[in-house]
Amino acid sequence: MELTSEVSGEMQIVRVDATRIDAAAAIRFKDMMREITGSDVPHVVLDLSKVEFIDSSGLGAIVAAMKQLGSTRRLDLAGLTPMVDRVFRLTRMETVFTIHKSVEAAKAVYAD
Amino acid sequence: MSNAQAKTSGVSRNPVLAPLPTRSVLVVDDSRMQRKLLKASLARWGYEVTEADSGQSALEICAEFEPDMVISDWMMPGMDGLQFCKAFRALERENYGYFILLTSKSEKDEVAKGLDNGADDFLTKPVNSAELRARLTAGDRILEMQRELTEKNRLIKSTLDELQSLYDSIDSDLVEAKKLQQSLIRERHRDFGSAQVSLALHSSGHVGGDLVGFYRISKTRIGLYAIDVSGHGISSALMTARLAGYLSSTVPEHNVAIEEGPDGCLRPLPPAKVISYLNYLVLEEMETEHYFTLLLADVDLETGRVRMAQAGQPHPLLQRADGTIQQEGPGGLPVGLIHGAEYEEFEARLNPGDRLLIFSDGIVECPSPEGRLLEEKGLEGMMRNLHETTGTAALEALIWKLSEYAGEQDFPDDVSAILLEYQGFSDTQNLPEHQKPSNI
Repeated sequence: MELTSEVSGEMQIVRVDATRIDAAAAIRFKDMMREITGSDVPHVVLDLSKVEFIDSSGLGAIVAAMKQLGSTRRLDLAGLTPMVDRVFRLTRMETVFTIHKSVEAAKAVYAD
Repeated sequence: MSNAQAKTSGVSRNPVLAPLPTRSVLVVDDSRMQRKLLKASLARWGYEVTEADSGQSALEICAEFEPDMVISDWMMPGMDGLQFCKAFRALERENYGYFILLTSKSEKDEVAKGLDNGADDFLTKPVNSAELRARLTAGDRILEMQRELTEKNRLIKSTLDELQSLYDSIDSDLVEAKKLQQSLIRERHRDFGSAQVSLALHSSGHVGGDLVGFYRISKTRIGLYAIDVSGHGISSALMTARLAGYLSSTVPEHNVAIEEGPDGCLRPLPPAKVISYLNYLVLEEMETEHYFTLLLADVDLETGRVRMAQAGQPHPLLQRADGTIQQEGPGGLPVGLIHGAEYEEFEARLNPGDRLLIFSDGIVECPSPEGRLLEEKGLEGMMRNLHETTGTAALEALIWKLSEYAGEQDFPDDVSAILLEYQGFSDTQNLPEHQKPSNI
């Protein structure tokens, strides 16, 4: 699994280059997120457009990554694929995260 | 680790000029003079030398002990050096033996023939002392490397043996744990008169993170729960055992979903409230990285009304008497992730002949050999085919169909399900306890 990061102004986009975030990848994902979001950019958007499957451990890791950011910084999600979207709707993750259709949509929101 | 280091620290290759370790050399030559010359040099350099005057007697010596090195003349009466070399290679030995052939001329095809027959090196006669020493040193390096390798292999083997025995003891422990976990589900089936409840639990490993169960609250109310703890290993299994303690009992002191009403009768607490409370308990009182999904149902046996709340568990599947299938629910946050999570309740009205399947995501997320997940649609198809099958047989058939779908592979996740089949409440079930038919 690789994470790539791009910072523009108030916003950091972290792209997950993996098709799965599952039990095997969860701990590594959490650690990499901690490293990559070490700066204090206020809005972090996690680009999940390449991720096709997230299991319970993966979901836990994403929530943990959000908690790592603390209360003043936000983690948004973008580009959910159908399977991931299904899991996120079932677990009502939209009540926890702001979910954007795509990275472009997120950029439009934070451009102002 | 320190042990391994201690064992290997003494193993280092000798620099070329360092004194050679005491090695045994077997010198094979029919010429007594040649043997004497070689022996003198070898003894001077600290080798232990044994002599043989023919290939045959050399073989006999090798049956007695293993020389580290052999220096053998090629041309000998009877068994020649090449034949001896071949026979020497065929011997069963503990360690590698380094074989140097003595030749009078080093023609290319001769050398090739020697190498083919197992010789390691050559010396041309007359033997030059410096060259002999250099060849021995080269052989020594090979033997030393071989010894290191053997030592490392031995270490690997003993470590593997150790791991195997550790693995065996963990494995037998897990077999016991599996029995204990299965005992959390005391009954696979119960007939509540107006409804039948059947359970299925299939862990992907020995132990798993799924748990299903039911409890009777009163004559007309029962509770159902389906839990899926994140992960599916040992710690997930321990968590299910802990959670079973909160939900499986039929007394309010040991079941967070039951309370005593003002009339002294037991009654269910609203499922959404119960889940919120469990969320609080997990986040405040359990130190765990795990969280779980849960579906909690309060079933009214009299009216067929099922009140549920869903915490990340898949939507239950409602199969009507006429076969139509619905899978709906409001969803909900998993338990133990977010402080202050609140849950929505939803309802299903069961009429006689209707049934409700509550299940873990291990079913709908079960992959085919090509990696295609079963999903809700696939489950719907299976349940449609099983319309006529009831009770535990229906669940067993469902798991059977699922393993057909998965192909050769084991289920990657735990699989569990509850089947609630509603027959309807008849008048006899309203009779006071002593007038009831005896099967209830």
